[in-house]
Amino acid sequence: MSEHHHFGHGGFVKSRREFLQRCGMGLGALAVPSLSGQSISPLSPRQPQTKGKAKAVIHLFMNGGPSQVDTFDPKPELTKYHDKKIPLELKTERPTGVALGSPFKFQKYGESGLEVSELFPNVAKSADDLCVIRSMHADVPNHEPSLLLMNCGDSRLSRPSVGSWVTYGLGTENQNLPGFVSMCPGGLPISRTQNWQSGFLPAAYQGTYVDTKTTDPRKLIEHVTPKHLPRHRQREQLDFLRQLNEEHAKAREYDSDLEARLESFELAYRMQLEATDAFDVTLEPQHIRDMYGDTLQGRQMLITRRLVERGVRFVQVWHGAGQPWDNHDDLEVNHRRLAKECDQAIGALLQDLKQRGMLDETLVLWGGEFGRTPVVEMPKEGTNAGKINGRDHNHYGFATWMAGGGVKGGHVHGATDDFGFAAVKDKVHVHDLHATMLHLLGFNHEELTYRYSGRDFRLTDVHGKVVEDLLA
Amino acid sequence: MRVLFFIILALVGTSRGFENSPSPKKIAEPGEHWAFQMPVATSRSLDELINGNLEKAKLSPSPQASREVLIRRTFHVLTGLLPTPDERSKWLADPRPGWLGHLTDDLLARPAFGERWARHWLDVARYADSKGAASSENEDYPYAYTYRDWVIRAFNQSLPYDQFLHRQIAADLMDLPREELAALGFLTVGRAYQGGQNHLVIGDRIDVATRATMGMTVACARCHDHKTDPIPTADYYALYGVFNSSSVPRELPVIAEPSQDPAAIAYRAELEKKAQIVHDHVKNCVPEYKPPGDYLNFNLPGEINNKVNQTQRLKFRQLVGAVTKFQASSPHAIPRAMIVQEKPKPFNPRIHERGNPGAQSDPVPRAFLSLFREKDEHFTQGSGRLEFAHRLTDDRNPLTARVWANRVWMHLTGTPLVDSPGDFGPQTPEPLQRALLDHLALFLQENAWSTKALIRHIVISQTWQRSSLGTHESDPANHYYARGNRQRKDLEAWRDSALHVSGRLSDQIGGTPFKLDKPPYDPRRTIYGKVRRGFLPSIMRSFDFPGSEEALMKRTTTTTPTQALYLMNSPFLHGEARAIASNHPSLEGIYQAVLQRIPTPTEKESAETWLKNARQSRTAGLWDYGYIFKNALEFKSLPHFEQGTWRGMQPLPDKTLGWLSWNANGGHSESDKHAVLKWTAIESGTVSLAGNFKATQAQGNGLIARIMRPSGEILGEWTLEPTQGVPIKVDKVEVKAGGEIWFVADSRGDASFDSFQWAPRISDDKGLISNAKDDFAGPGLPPLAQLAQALLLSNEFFYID
Repeated sequence: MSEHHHFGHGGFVKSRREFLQRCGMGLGALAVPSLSGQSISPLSPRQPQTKGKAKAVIHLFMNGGPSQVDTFDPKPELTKYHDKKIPLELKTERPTGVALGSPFKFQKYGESGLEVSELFPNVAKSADDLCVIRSMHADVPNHEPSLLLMNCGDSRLSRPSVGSWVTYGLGTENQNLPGFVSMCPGGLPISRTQNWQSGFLPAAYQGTYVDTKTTDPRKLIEHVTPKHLPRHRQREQLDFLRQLNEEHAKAREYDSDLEARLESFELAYRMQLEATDAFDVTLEPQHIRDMYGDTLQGRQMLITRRLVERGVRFVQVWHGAGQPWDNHDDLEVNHRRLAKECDQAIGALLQDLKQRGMLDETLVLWGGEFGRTPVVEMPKEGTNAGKINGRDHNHYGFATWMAGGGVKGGHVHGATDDFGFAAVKDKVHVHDLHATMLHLLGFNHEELTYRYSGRDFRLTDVHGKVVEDLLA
Repeated sequence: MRVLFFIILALVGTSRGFENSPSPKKIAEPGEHWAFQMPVATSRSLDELINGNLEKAKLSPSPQASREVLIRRTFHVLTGLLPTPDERSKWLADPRPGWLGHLTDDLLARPAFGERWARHWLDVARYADSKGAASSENEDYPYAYTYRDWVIRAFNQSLPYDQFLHRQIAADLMDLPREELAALGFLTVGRAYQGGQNHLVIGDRIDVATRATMGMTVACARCHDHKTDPIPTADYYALYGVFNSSSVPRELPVIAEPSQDPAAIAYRAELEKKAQIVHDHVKNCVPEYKPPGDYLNFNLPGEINNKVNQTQRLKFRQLVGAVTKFQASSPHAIPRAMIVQEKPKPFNPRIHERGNPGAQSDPVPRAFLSLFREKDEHFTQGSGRLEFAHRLTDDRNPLTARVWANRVWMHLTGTPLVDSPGDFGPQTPEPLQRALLDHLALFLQENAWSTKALIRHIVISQTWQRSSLGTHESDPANHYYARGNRQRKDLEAWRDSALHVSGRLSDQIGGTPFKLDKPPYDPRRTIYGKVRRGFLPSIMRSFDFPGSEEALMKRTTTTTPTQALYLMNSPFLHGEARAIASNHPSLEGIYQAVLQRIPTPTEKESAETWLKNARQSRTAGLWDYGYIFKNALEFKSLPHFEQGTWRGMQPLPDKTLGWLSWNANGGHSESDKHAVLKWTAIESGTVSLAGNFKATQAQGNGLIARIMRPSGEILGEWTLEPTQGVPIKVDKVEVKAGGEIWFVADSRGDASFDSFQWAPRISDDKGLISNAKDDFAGPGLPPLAQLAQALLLSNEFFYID
């Protein structure tokens, strides 16, 4: 699949061929250590084009689409119109009716006075670190294309995911762990593995899926635990293998491929210990575990911190299998339940990153694939069971927030209309969000490209604009 | 026509017709791009072309590789397997000067050749057995395998490459036996798109039919004129017209007689029963429904379809799904071909502005790429699919033969001549070995498009036989081919070779796919492993197997710790290692089987030292499970492990060992033998021992729990009455590396009802060292199997010099 790598300018590698020539290696030898013995596998760490503030990304994916007017975009006007028709008509996926004022109270937090609903009191404790974008918009009101747009920058075609682009651009800091981890408890989200696919990028950049419902850290990554030998016996076996490989290499001229493969067994042996440790939250002190909460979300947020701390480049954390936040009915009950599940854990994650001095270099992104309508969804067979107390999909306007990694804290960017239906002021398209994320990581989104099938591809295709107002 | 022309040339005896081949035809627009000009003939041979460049670059070629290396290399590139020891001896001893040509002919005639080379083509054909993550259920393509098997057959039967392409694109429009219809899977095994968007499905077919064959990235012109190549959007939609004039019928045609095997007959009866349930359901919903003659036809007539409500339809789909699944999972399903067929009326395409099917613009006629045709030369026969197929290989097409020759060279030498095998457009510079590429392309065409002839031509060249040894610092990437490339076995080659050396490799050719990651591990070749698009098992994901979303023209080769973890810890490889060790129960035998050589004295010595250590660990963990005789101090292991329990050879109670047993939670003692759980320390230090001991049964006389050392020193002792449980704890126990602690369950002389629960924990000041419950382990890999595994993991096994 790899035809030419191309990172644009910036003193980085111009083409795969040049890369290899520079390193004095043969073709097909990309995943090998250089002469100095330092690994330059596809995942070895690299410098971006410019110095980026963010070194790692945590993407908290509220799949299904949380409602903006109930979380981070208060709309008093909507409450006034409750149960009445609003003077604004937008085509929704399903039939919708009158205004549905938010049942949740908003409150100002922190020095910035950022407004957050009662759903997220713990997240709100970090209000002065949050950079809320209230003017997000996407292309269509359907889950699958919107998930792919948010994750891969294209709603229809098979394109690499953001995490794949980022690990392609930056490699990863810890060769004993995967560079890109996607965690979803209990199964897969809608659009499944497409959400973390590497597309035309080499498979090494694909997200490693971990089902965080599993509590035994030894079972979280496949084949990470030897079940056929005691570990010290395996060490002896690998020592014998090493001898064998060294003899084999000695009989030939230096070949970095051979050395890389020899080294990969050592890496794997260390990974057995380190990966198990990274996923083992019982190694954390009790007060930290209490801070995150002894819940599924608490566990996966704590694992997230442990992974980022160990140098994993991109961690995506899904709320759950399927589309939990897709509350077409009983929105109040369900949003309350879902927020309760994750609020403490996300709040703890933000505070913990901050207290460890990691937040500055870690970009946290929270949000769904789109938002929800401010108007109530009307009953339709097979969708909301005849209840009139939920919200439909809404791609015209929705809210996400970022924190750390070089974004402004306690900041609100853009706005939706009075009812929270469509983004109207300082609109930010998903492509713009991607351009900004790459900027924070030190990349010009137009220059992080990959030559495939006769064309230079990039995450933002022909779109995207860095949103300067978000940058600290 | 071209083929005929060259046959005549050959007959009149010109030297292969080089001098008389047509002069290169220049394509006017866009001028000078090398790949758009017809290949140029030369009088020089393959080796002369290579050597000419070497001389210019002042590189001296490496000598010929040893015969030993060449045998291994030839087996690898042609069959993806290793020679057996007998084959190796036979070819080493072959006295004929042209032995390599004979070996090549021998291997080209084996079914294993088709199995190896078909897989190369399936990468290009984005072959998969399911629709992919975009379809709601990632439904299977139950008959995709008939296309895979057709490709294998085509290679093995030496179907000329032009025919090979024609059939994959238009077999239904040619006069061929019905089994040849399977070739059309080339067009239809692509991925599904969300909402089944037809224009993307057509785009996928255009892409595979142009990029895989001609190295032209036509699909880039879907939304706008190609940015860099002379492909206007009109060309894309001209082909859109061709491929959108055909569709996949609901009912795929049967391509073989139903088997009369009793199992197959029983299967068909069951299938009919299941299908009948669907028809009964429809009849219940709409009483006037009349089931069709073919019980597998679930297409409801319009007026019936309209009367089925939502809930009924859902149920209908589920029932149909169950039938499809039943068919897909049965090896007895009658093979069908995944065809396309002409629509009643050909489709007249219009350009979609910016690729949006909602924005239809100017009409375009169905036609070939404008670059290679006269302005008003359009397709006239139906969809134009057959005309398109012929245009790929007619004498006005400069690309097709070059693209295939480039691939054949790549599969034989490890690197292509044109580094982007899927892009021969103007962005791809003229390759260093352009003259060689043209030579190979013309050779292919002159030899009636015979892939086998081209392979043989390359393999018997001096160039191909060069040793991979020798440094050439000025050409590290080996663009000049001064030496051979060392090649690493890909997933298929290493897995098949592992099965081969373990003696388990099955010779069954073709058939429905098996799951690669599911025990008991199927010993069929990897090409028959199921490709679940978007859900590849870890073995495929980590070893660079294509994602099959789009045509893949060149695999990447990565070296990652994930691969190493698979090789170290996957039960698949342990199984092969066990098989090797039991077929060849000696150190030498294992070396012979896996590496086809005897160990050197040094290797033998270090292996023996290591294996002596390895023999000390019988289980896969730090615990061992056994017993001691009353009043004796000799630990004896329980000999048999089954279903999570260590015990005697026979089901409990064993003739000699009675009820003696250990499982993760505890075990059972005997009157004259005490059950003993043995822990061996790896490091010296101070540990504490804890856990609960419980005599589980109400009857009997209870038990004594005892913790002791092999010397007889007792560290603690607790006497329990039936059903009693006590916490057991001993602190500050000094252990030496290799020292043992025994956890003994004493039956107090009467073994009836003496089952107990006991899973001790051992920790030191840093935390838990081991917990007998979580670390409960079955038998470890036997030492000789560990050796076999190490050899399977070695670079010597994984690389071909």
